[in-house]
Amino acid sequence: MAVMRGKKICRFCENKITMINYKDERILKRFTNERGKIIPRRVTGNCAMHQRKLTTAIKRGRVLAIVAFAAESYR
Amino acid sequence: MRVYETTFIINPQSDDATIEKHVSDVKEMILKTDGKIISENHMGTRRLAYEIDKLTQGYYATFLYEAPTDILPLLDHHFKVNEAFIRDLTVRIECDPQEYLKQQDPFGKHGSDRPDDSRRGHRGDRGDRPAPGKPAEKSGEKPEVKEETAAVKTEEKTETAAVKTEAKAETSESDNASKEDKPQDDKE
Ligand SMILES: [Zn+2]
Repeated sequence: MAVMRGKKICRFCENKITMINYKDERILKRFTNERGKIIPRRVTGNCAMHQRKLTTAIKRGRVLAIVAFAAESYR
Repeated sequence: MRVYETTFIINPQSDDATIEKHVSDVKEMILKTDGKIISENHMGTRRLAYEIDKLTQGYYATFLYEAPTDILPLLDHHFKVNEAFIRDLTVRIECDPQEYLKQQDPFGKHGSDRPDDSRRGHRGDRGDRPAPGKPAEKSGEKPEVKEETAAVKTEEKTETAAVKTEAKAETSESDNASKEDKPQDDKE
C-alpha cells in the first residue's frame, strides 16, 4: 500500500468533464487494467461521482464491444 | 418526447450500399414516430473488443434523437429481427442534448496527446505471475495483490503522460504535511 503516496486528484474533475463518453475507447481503456477490469478509485484517485459515471460508461462500452468484458488471454 | 442515443453495430461483411440502407432504415423509423434527429454519426468499421458471432469487426453508427417512448419497442424489434445488426444499445440522455454533444469525442478526435499509446497495447506475459498450473487456493489473497500492482503500474504509465499532475500532487502533499503538524500545535 505504500506504493503510491500523495494526494490523488480526480482527472475528470480536473478537466471539468461532467459526462463520460462510453464510445471513447481511450478513456475506458485508461481506467481498466489489461484484464479488462475496472481499476478501483483508491488507485486512480477518481472522486465517487466520476467513478460511478465511469463505471456506467465502461459497462456500456462492454456491451458495444468497445472494451472487453475480460481479457482473452486469461490463463 | 425524450432524448435518446442509439448506437448499433452492423455486420461489415455486406457491401457499403446495404450497410447504408440499414443505417437509413433506422433513421426512417425514428422519423416515422415523429422523432427528431439531433445528430448522427457513422463511425464506420472498427475492431470489436471481443468476437461477436465470429466477427472481429463491426460497422458502428449512432443517432442522437428526440422521440416519443413508443420508439423503443419498435427499434428493439427491428434490431432483433434483422440479423445484420449484431449489437445495439439505446440510452436515455437526461441532460441538454447540445451540452451532451459538446462533451462527446467519438473515437479519438483528441488523438495524439499520447504518442506512446501504440507501444502500450500488449505487454505480453509477465514473468512474475504465478504459473498457470499452480493452485490458487493455497494463497487466496495472492492473485488479488498481483492484480493491484498491475493496476498501479498502468496508473503509473498514465501518470508519466501527465507529469504536470504529478508535480501538482507533490506540492499538495507537502501542504498536507504541514497541515498535519498544525493541529498538534493547536492542542498544546
Ligand atoms: Zn471527479
